[in-house]
Amino acid sequence: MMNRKLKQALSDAFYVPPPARKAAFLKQHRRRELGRWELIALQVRYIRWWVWPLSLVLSSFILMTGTLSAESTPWYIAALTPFLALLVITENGRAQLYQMDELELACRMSRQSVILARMVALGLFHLALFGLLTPLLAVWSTVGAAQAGVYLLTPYLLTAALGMELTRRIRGREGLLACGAVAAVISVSGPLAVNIRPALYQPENLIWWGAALAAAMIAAAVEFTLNVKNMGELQWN
Amino acid sequence: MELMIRDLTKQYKDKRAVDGVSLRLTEGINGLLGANGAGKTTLMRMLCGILKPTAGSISLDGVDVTSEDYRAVLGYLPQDFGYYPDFTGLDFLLYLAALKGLSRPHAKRRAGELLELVSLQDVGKKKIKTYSGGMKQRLGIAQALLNDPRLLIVDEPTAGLDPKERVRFRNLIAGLGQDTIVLLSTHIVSDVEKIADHMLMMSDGEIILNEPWDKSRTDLEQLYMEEFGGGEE
Repeated sequence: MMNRKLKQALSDAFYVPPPARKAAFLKQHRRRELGRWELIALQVRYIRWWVWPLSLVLSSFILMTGTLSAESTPWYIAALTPFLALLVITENGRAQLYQMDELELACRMSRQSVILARMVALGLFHLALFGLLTPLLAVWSTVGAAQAGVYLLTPYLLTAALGMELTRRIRGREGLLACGAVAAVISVSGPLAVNIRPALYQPENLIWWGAALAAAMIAAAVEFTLNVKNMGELQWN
Repeated sequence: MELMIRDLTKQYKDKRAVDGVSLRLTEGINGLLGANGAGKTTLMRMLCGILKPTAGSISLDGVDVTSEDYRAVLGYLPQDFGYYPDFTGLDFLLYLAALKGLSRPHAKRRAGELLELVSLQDVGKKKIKTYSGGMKQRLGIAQALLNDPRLLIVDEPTAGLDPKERVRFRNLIAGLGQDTIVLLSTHIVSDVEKIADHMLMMSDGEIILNEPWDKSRTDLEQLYMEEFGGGEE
């Protein structure tokens, strides 16, 4: 009671001027710096939720089919990883597909860093899955660890490289559909190639697979760099 | 606070969309009038740093357009914008607030304030696909204000709105020019006639009028007709 009276008396006795240009002042002091990992954690929240369980389901299928049939194990392993890469590519092209790219480009965080953060998050997740699958396949299937590793990574990186090239050249839905088609072609090319060249998945051809993996790695790195460069500017005509 | 634009040019293969534009803009509402195809959108995209100029420079108080510091104080409402299909109005604001670097608690508070400012507080948790064109535009201006911009760029904000929504939107913009450089592009004279402090006109990629504007003047339409030979839509 006394407090209220005292407060009233004080406010009557001393005039407090209203804040001048408060909004302008606040505008200059509302910056927040984000660290690299904080940015990645933030972007993980905005990757479509079903991408994570779908990646797990596809990986489980790779493991199941890879251990079911001894004869066709290698190409089973290689047939599903293009679809994991497709998940990354569609996530990459989502802003353009839904016309959010112009808004995102004008935001404080550069679009390159945002897309990089998402790609790093998804890429690390898929690498972790491959890291789990490789020793499990080596133990439970007929292929060795090195074979399992290259059969998982080569079609994945090849799809990623071709997908990035396509989405750079073809905008919107058409680009993503083309990526889907490429993933399907790479997926079925394994079993088709075995019919033509039965020794394709034999251990003696591992060196060729290694060369193909190296080429796919270089292509994916080049395409990734070109994509990131391209993202700094609106692609509109 | 000043936005300096020097000799800005954008050349496409066979067309010069913006041709050596030099401007100095300060706080207040700057109306940019021009017919369709005059180069307004290209100019605005360059001012937002999302299109690289062929030549020239842009800076806000000495901060270059390509820097994060510039984008940190920029608000932009493009002519056409989309949204992720599963987004509610609130999700949309929180997502863009994250990209603008606002902390989650600050973003939530700011999104609530802005939904109220644009009279969308009752539908903030509804999917954007259920919104009318006017509601989407109001949500668009809300996202542009998330970071309390010092430079606000709005490109044809009233396109596709009915007359009532257009007036509502105009009143909303009119209240923003005190501490902010607002650049409002339109080809509709009445959008800027009563609210602009400064008037710019653009034709064939060049600025053909650049002068302070007296809001009591009523001859803008006539001026526009003389320059473009067309009228209000």
